[in-house]
Amino acid sequence: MATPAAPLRARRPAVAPIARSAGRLLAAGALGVVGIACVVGLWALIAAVSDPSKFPGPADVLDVVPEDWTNIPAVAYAAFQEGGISDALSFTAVNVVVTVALGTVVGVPLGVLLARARTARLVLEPPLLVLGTVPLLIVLPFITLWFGTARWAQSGLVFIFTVLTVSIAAQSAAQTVSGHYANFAACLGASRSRQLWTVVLPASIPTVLGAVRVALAASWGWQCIAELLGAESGIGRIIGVTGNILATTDLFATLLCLVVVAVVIDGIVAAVGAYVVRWKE
Amino acid sequence: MSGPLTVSPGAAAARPRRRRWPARLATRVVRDPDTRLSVLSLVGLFVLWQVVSLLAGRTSVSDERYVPNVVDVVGAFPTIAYYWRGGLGVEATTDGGHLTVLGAVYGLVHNSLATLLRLAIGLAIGFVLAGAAATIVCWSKLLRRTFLLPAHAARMLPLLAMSPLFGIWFGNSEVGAVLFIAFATFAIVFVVALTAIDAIPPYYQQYARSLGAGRIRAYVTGFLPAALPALRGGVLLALGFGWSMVIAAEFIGQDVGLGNIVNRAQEFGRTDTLAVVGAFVVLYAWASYKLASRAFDRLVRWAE
Repeated sequence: MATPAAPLRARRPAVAPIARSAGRLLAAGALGVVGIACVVGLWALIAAVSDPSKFPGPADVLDVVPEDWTNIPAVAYAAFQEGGISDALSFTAVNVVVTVALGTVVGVPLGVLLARARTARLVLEPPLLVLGTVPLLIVLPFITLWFGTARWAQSGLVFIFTVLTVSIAAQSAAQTVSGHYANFAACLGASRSRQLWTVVLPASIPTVLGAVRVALAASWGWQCIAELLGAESGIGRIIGVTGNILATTDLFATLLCLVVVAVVIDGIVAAVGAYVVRWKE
Repeated sequence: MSGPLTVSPGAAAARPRRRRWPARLATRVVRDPDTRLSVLSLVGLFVLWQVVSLLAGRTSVSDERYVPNVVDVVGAFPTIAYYWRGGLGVEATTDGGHLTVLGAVYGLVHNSLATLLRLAIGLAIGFVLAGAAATIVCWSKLLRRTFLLPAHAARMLPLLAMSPLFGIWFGNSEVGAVLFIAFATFAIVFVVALTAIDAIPPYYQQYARSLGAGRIRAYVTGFLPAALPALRGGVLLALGFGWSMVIAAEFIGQDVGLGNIVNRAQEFGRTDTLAVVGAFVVLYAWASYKLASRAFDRLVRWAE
């Protein structure tokens, strides 16, 4: 005798996966906060056994941030320069973000061109390989000598680094995609330009986004060293001046603000990237 | 009974002789259109460099060309003798000695060795500390996830621009320069190691455990080596970055080293000297990259 069919189990509400991923995100965030607390604790521990003029503690640094936000007295005194962390931060952040965006705009088509056009690859790859082996800091004195300390010139290192990083990633991604997905599209009758716009470029975005984030993270360092060695504004300039007059607490406060802003900007890029590639498995 | 093995003249003649690389390259350039195009591209770049050098003019500071051409670069090599402190039969220029090629060679070797030594020690300390820290932190998944956010934030530190801080802590000493490089190496390699270990599927460790390995043995001999291939990019990145770090450290606060030559050449507008040092730095960086790349490939030759 056939057993009666069990009643169909009611479907779980669609909100469950969202709640699960929100819970995971919350747990990761909580762990992250614990991690930051551990690092701050270690910092306080080292500061407690060090000379406070050389290694200030987290409390001292946090106290200084509001004071230095609009005007850093030490910098005003030593460099006859008005302005605080906020001015320097906006100068550096705008330079980094705009230059990384420009580098990405140049790097992606360059990488795709290298992957898709054989002649372009043969002609452009050797000079790019030569440029890729050059330690970028050796280029900085030439940039300063050729173009002076203009704002756009100081972002030269960021631009070169971003173009190199993004173009290599875009080339690699486009080559991988061309071997699989583009061939499928070609079998289905897609023209070469349609393959490029509807298959190769969208499928390369996840890899390119990863490269953009790598370039963005490194660009803060490139921008700051360029400012340290030759600019008249920016975080690098503040680091240089505060370092020269041993204003370590101001230096730490400047670095802390820079890291916070850099992490926030990286988070925004990551969130936008996650939205753009939400189709990704 | 067979006699000693000998190679007959016929056999020797039959074996194709391996030609030297210039001859092999020349044949490839003639026969292979792809190689021809790539070589032409490099030749074009070289010609463009010479043309730009002619058009760019000269600096008002030192009357040197803004873009030194190949003749300037080769001709400027003896200026490295300014950075030789005297000895081995060559008088220092500060004591009235002349600019000589031998003095330049001594100056180059002396400054290159100083830079290479700082870089090697800094990288070694950074790699060892990052490896040890990642090994400890990654023991527990909870610990690993806890330190992911601070490690991610550390990636945003303007490492190159932090040399004034090391100057405050250690003065313009060797220790400061070496620790500056070690710190940057640690920041890069630790993040990469953490991410690489976090990406290893847990069944690697579970396989080892099911085969009877203890927890420590499974972790050290199974789990950690599985992360090595993913570290390749980070290690090479740290090496490339290390070159910029050592130049930055010497640029700002050292009396000897290639970065110090770059600093002084820039101060005096000597673009030709800058180009000579730049060429050697590129050569060293390329050689170290190739060496590290091969060594790493050998280390993970078992990887698929």
